[in-house]
Amino acid sequence: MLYNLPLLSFLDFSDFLSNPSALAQYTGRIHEGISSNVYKIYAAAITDPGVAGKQNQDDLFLWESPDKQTFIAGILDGHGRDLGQVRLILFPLLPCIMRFKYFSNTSVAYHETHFCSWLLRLDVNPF
Amino acid sequence: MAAQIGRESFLNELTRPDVISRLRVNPKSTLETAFANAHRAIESALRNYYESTGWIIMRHKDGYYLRSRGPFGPLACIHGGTTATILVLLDGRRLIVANVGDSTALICGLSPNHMRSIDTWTPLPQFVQSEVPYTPFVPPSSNVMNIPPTYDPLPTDIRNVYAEITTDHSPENLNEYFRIAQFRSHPMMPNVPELQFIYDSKSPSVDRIPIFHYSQDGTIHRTGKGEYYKNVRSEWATFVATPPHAPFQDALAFTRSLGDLHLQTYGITHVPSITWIDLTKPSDITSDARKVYKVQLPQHIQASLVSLCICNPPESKDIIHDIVHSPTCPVFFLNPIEPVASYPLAIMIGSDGIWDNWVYSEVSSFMLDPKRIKEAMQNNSISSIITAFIQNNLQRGNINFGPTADNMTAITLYLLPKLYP
Repeated sequence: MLYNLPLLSFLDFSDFLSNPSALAQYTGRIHEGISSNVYKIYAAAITDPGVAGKQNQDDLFLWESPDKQTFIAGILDGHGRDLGQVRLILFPLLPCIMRFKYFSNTSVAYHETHFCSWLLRLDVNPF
Repeated sequence: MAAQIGRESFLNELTRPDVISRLRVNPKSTLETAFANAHRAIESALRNYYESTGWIIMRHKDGYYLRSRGPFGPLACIHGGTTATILVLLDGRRLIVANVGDSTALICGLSPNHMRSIDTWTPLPQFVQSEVPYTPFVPPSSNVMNIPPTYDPLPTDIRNVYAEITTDHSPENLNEYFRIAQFRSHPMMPNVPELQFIYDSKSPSVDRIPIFHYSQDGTIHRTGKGEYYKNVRSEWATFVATPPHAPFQDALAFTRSLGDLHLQTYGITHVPSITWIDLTKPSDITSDARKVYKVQLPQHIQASLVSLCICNPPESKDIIHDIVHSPTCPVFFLNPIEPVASYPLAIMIGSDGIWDNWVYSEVSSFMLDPKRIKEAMQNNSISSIITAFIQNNLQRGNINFGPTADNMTAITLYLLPKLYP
């Protein structure tokens, strides 16, 4: 899962070149050996939450053209209220929390939907 | 969420062959379109997200979105956005950088003199894009010599040479202040933006001090009364904020971003600043070298040639004249495409979680350390360099900011001239 890798983890993403759709799936990554007519190019990228357990709102991508002459890289640093974070962090805990305490006879999907609505109704950003 | 949506939008658009072709001709409009599309994708994703979670979404006449639980529920403004820094190394020889926000990029080994405004962009001649430097074709029966370029060892003083290749979008940038004032000025003061440019304070009850102040004679100057530094380069913590009378309060630490629909009504913009660097030495490829000469060739070669391209012509024109005397096919003499520097260059793109902890000269020294470059070349890998860099940054972040250290993301590129020893 995105952002679920341990600190300083790297993935060899040579497979991303042959499968561009996989670009969206990696976090820590190293890519090297890109070549152009003029330069031999090495590229590497890494992202880290900075503090263990902190939500990482950064994102990045690397792309190389099939003829290895054009290379594109990007970094994006998200900010602001983002309730997607609530879903990412709290939802894995929901099944055990809700089944155990309150809603033992109802489906998890039902609780997820209504728990999210409940959080949104509070109009607070817990992060 | 905004960063992920933006990334997917850029990847889907910029990697298309037709877009790459447009980048060669007009990178400014192509990149501005890509940023506009990423901005719209984020806008759409924000709206869809809230609608899918049961909110009633209303679009304000100014373009931002409001959400409510029902027709009589309180209205809240939808916030959120992202910085974006896009680097394009085009055809292996031209570097284009477009950015909104504070995800800075630094090139180590080149001075700022190499940076050019995107308005100076001229497309490369079409035939150049497929030529192969350093593998010259030498006409038979000629005495033209191929003179390979020579390379210097890494100069020791080059580690102090670097250039910030992204544009500064901090609230302390006077150009941005004027731009936003022109977009939406204060109702009573036409030269002052309605958006507030202010220094941050750690105390919530303290009035924020404006960054800029007009003197009585009409000149503008920075007040310089920041309360604390946001990074180790002694840059003040600043932000732009909606005026007190705004119906929804909002603030941001830079003046351009993707998303942030509400702030865009005050002058925050998704239009990127774009610069470029020619990573090859200037040549006369567009002038003298395009002159058509004639060359004597054997009949069987003449029959199969439409034109002939000779790279790496000799220094002496006399030698060329010796072989140019017979009316055969047109010949283009091209100067070799040489790297702009005869030593390795390094580029670092980072989020603010990186740049909070480094003085630029430290990054340049780190990246162009001869031992690191030698090790990378021996191992054919820069894994050790970026690992050491991020470990160093983690330590610095822990010391400088403790548990409030920011997310840190880095992309590193090394450009080694071909034939570098």
